[in-house]
Amino acid sequence: MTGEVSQIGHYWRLYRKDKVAVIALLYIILIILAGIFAPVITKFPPLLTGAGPSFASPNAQHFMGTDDLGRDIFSGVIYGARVSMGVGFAAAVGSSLIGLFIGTIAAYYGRTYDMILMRITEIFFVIPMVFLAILLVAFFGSSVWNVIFVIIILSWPRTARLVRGQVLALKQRDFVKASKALGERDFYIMFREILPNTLAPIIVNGSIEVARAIVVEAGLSFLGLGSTDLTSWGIMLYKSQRFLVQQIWWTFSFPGVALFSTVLSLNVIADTLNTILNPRIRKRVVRQ
Amino acid sequence: MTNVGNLKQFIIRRAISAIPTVFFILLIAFLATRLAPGDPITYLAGEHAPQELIDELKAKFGLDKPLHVQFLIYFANLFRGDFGYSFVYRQSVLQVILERVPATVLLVGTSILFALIIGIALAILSVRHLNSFIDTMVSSASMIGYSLPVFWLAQLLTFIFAVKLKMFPAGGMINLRAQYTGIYRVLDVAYHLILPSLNLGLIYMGLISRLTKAEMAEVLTQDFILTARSKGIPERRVMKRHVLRNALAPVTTMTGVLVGLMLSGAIFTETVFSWPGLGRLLYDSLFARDYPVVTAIFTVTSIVLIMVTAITDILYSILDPRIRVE
Repeated sequence: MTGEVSQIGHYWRLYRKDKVAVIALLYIILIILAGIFAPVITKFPPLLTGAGPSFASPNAQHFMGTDDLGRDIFSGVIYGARVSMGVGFAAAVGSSLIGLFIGTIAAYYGRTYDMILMRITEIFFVIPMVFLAILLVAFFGSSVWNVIFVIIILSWPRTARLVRGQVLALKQRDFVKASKALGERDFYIMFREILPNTLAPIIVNGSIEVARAIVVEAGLSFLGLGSTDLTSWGIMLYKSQRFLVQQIWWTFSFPGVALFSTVLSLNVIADTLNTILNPRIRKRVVRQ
Repeated sequence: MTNVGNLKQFIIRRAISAIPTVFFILLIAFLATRLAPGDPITYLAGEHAPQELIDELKAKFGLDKPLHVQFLIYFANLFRGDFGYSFVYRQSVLQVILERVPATVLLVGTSILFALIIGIALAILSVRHLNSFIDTMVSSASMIGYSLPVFWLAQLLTFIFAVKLKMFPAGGMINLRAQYTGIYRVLDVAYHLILPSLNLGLIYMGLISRLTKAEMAEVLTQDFILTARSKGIPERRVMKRHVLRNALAPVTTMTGVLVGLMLSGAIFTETVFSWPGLGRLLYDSLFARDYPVVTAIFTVTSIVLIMVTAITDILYSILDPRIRVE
């Protein structure tokens, strides 16, 4: 146990050296805290119409102005963090767990299992994810749970494939052969011996998945496929589209900056983790 | 076996391997219309269809028959090019879609060219000055590029360049007030194309430069580069003849993925810029609950992408015959 702790300490010391990555991490923590403590931070409920006059530009009362119905933009941005972070992390954790499980089993048992997995992941790599997400959400409803569910369905194959590659390599190592010789059960070997060694790339992949899920959720909302009883950055951008030509800049800038800076920070974190955790892997094919 | 025979075999094998994927796509589209909450007829006819059409479609799709029979009927219809009828446009769905294809091809084509040229140029620049200030700048720019949500960048571009500076039109493909003809019409379309293609191109430029740079950096570590350099070949020539050429082959396989990404991005770009392509059509159809069109856009673009991916794989195998032997 102490070994693992000191290893985390070692990675943290490496991570700390990258100032940009530290700022990105602090920013993500800040956004999460903002989402959690939203009611304390802002006095206006995000969907309250007439919280101020219609289209008030940023002022002392409304830091980020108000929209057409006098809703407070700042409240929307703060509460929007809940949806983005919630969807992002739930989808990433869900798809990572499924990907880990299926990827490990396919690689460990090989043959038919592996073939089936490879065929499925190939199909998912070719299907345009956004189109499928739109189709499913348009037909099955745009509740947050549906959105999370759809993103998980669409992204687990990426993780599974990644895990598969790792497990295939590890399977040949002596410690696995030794465990087998000792008569350990397959599940023990898979999930206690092999799995901990694949965690580094899974963590990197996970942080990219969070960013990706946030963008997909915002994109669906931007097309009008968001749930209307919630405030999210994507929905705010969707609603602000009509007012662009009226030179109303605050309705689209603030939610957009929130979305962009969050995604950028997550990508920076993933990039830094990638160089720290697997120094040999310099390249990474980013697929969507 | 001869090299040509080998290639022919690879092409056939690759084409066959695309069949299950196409089948899967059709199955998803079929199941979505049948399993979604509510009456399947809504998803087959759209929300504004009159009763006669509904009755006609119920009979046509055999909605009272078991699911697998329905799938066969659906499959047979698609095979004949019958994607259903859009009551919103009062046209066959296929016709509605085909009318929008040229605009999307123009937008995506221009954006890919733009992204490839600038992206590869940036990659070369950054590899030639590895770990320098320029390299850092290029990496940061690409990171920013692919972190920017395409729809937000679209709004930003519209606001700055169309609304504030009035340099470019805020949307559309042609100036409806001036009925240009001939070369003026071409120029008019090009003028309208600038902002949307900048929007799509900028996002994926970062991705391309990042991938190309990674490939080039990888090639640079190979022995034959050391050999080339030690023979005294000028650095510029080493880069062009040895590094870039070897790095570009893997990048071509990305083209399939890139077209997919661009088509997805085009949904948002076209929505913001009212560009009359498939993406805008999808947005309008979602809004009008014209489900037959939504389903058909999904099926058609997916099948196109499956074909593009297969073609790039084949092209890659011509560039690098090693991959034909699995």
